[in-house]
Amino acid sequence: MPPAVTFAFDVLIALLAVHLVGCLYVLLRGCLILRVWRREAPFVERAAILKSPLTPGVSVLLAPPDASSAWHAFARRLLGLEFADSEVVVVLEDATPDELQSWAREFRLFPSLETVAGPLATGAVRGVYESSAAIRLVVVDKDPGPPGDALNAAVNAASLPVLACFDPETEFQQDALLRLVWPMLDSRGEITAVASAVACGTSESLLGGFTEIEFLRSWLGRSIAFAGWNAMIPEPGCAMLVERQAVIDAGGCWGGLAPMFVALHGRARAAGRKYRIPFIPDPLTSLELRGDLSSLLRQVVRRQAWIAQAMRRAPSLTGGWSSLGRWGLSALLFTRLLRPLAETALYLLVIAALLFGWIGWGLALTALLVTMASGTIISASAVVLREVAEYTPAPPGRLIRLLVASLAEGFGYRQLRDLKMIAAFFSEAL
Amino acid sequence: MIHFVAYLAVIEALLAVWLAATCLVTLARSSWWQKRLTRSAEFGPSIRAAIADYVGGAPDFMVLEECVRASPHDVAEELLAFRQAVTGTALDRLCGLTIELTLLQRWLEEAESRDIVARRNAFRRLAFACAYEPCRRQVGERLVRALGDADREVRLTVAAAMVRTARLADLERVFHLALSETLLVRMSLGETLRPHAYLLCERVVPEVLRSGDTPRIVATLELLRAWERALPIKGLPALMGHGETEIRLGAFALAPLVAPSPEIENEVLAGLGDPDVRIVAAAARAAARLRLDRAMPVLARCARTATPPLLQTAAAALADMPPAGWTTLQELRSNPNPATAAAAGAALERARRKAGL
Repeated sequence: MPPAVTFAFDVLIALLAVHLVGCLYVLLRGCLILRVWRREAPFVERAAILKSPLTPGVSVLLAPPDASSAWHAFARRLLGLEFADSEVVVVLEDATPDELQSWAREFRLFPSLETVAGPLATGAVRGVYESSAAIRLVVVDKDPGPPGDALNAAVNAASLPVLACFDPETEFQQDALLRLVWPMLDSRGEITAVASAVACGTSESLLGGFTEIEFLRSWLGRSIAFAGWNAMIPEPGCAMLVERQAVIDAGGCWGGLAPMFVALHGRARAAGRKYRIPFIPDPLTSLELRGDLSSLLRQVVRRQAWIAQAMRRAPSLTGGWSSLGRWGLSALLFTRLLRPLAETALYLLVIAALLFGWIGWGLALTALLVTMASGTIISASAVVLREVAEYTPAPPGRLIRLLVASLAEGFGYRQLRDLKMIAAFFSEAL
Repeated sequence: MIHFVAYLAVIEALLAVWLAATCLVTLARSSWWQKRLTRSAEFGPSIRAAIADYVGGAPDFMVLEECVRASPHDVAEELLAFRQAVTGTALDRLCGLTIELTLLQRWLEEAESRDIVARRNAFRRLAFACAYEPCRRQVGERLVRALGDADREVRLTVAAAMVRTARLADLERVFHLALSETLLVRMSLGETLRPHAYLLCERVVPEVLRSGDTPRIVATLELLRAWERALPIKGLPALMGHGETEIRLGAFALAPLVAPSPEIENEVLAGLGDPDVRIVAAAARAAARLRLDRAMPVLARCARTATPPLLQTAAAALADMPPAGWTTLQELRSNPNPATAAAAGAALERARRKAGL
């Protein structure tokens, strides 16, 4: 075998080994942190939070991708959130007169004399509307702008000190705000933002198992373990609360919610301020997936684009590449880009080496099995470590189903997922 | 290459062995848990029937004794589930069962456990039993000592049980505990203490407000505010003019909840002229709640000269003071400052719609 190819093999295998050990370390840490959290069993005194005038007011922001009437139902659900002092701020970009009319009819809107001249620079605001019904709704109509511009306009229009965001693709619990706000009340002044876990509604099929493992790995690793290091970026689809002033200080939304969290971390770290962005491990939102391969891969692509977006913006933020600490963003880059690249390259190299006769079938099969096994070990570890951490065990049937899925995902699904991840990263980052 | 693949294969083989062992353990645990759930589901109806019979007046509790031998945890949980359903003599009989079945003794032992979960459960059950005087006597000072427990949930459970006794000494202990806890816990304990707010305001609060301890004074003002009821708070005007901003903000928020007095009105007016915008905003809100007509010229000046968000606060305060406040806002609508005109117009429009005009 040519020395260059041998070297490439060694480097790729070494990368996979480092990734395996690193992932297991992160998952183990996530498991230990979750165990501590579950032991602490944070009490949620909903009645007191709901009734007390000491609970800060929350502006729930909605910046739908279009101004169509399809979003009325989601806005209605946001208005139905249980909370004493809350308002919903909807920002419509480039709405047609018909679309505006439909919003006005649905929510009995009237033109407000209020101006939206906040500290964040946004596209021109065409009009502000308030509802004459007994609901606190502000609708801002503005010129189209770059990604994140609508969210910045919503931050400007918000009149309450805490902001909440929900993903329009998810179902959320009506008491989500009550459960999200408790860390802010528990460590007042220290909590910049809070995010919760997102659950996935899946089927009992093998693909359902793949989906569940997909969510489980990032829940235990990227969310819980990273929250332990205070370097958590929330998952797409989660519910989140952020201090309005912190968003303004960080310079706005930076094109999306993931970069905004990186900016929040970066700014607080650069200022040497004592801060925390906690994670609520219980899911307050859920994504209903169809249970087919395309919807699963769509979620993979969405998550990858979410991370890539944060990385693309990171160098221009206050904290730069060390916004999530010394290793945070590098670890994410390694897991989300280098590992899929290395694994794919290894498969191709093994096939090429076999075709050119540089290696025998035995070594080729061993190399392939070792590569596949590394992913299986990580997935199965996530399943097992979650069981170790939780006080209430899952039913044995479910455990077995997930363990079988973690074994099966190495035979085709993971390779496909790697290709999707690589493509999604480059299409978002470049 | 062979070396690298071999090393990785060995590492993975070792990890696979560890993983297989952990899998077996978790599966065994999961099966045990399922069996326990099934057993609880089987036991539940017979335990509930036996408790209902006893609470209803049946003298015999032999069945329950057998159940305690088989599954003390299930009996304890079923007893607690009955807590909300019974009162008076029935509640006494229910709590008395804990003595008869020696559960109380068991819980007292578990309350000394170093395992947080066991200790939490024990205190939750003891707190339930303490609704009955003989149980309270047996528990003794254990509850008071538990107010200093390292676990927050234990402290909260015990505090709620102590408040139920309605003795001033216990209320005072819980009140002081609330002052030293986080805002979240304070809000929860505030709800528990709310029925005794008047008594606490007369006997305990004045001493804390005079203490000079800023964090405790701020916490007390927060508790008073959380109660949201008219209260006899002595010395509030002095706190409104205090040197500490946090104390002043808390005192201004309380001003509408006490009986109006010239001293308080003067402090509100003085607050409107304060250099700190947070104090001005708090004073504006207090003026609106107190319907303080004397504050209107100062509020109008705020609406003309201040910057957002104080400007909006002043306009909102004027909107809450019809008809003179509305007249002022109407005049401000034609102010040359566009921010003032917009804020005044929006506040007036909102107030009119709220009033159904």
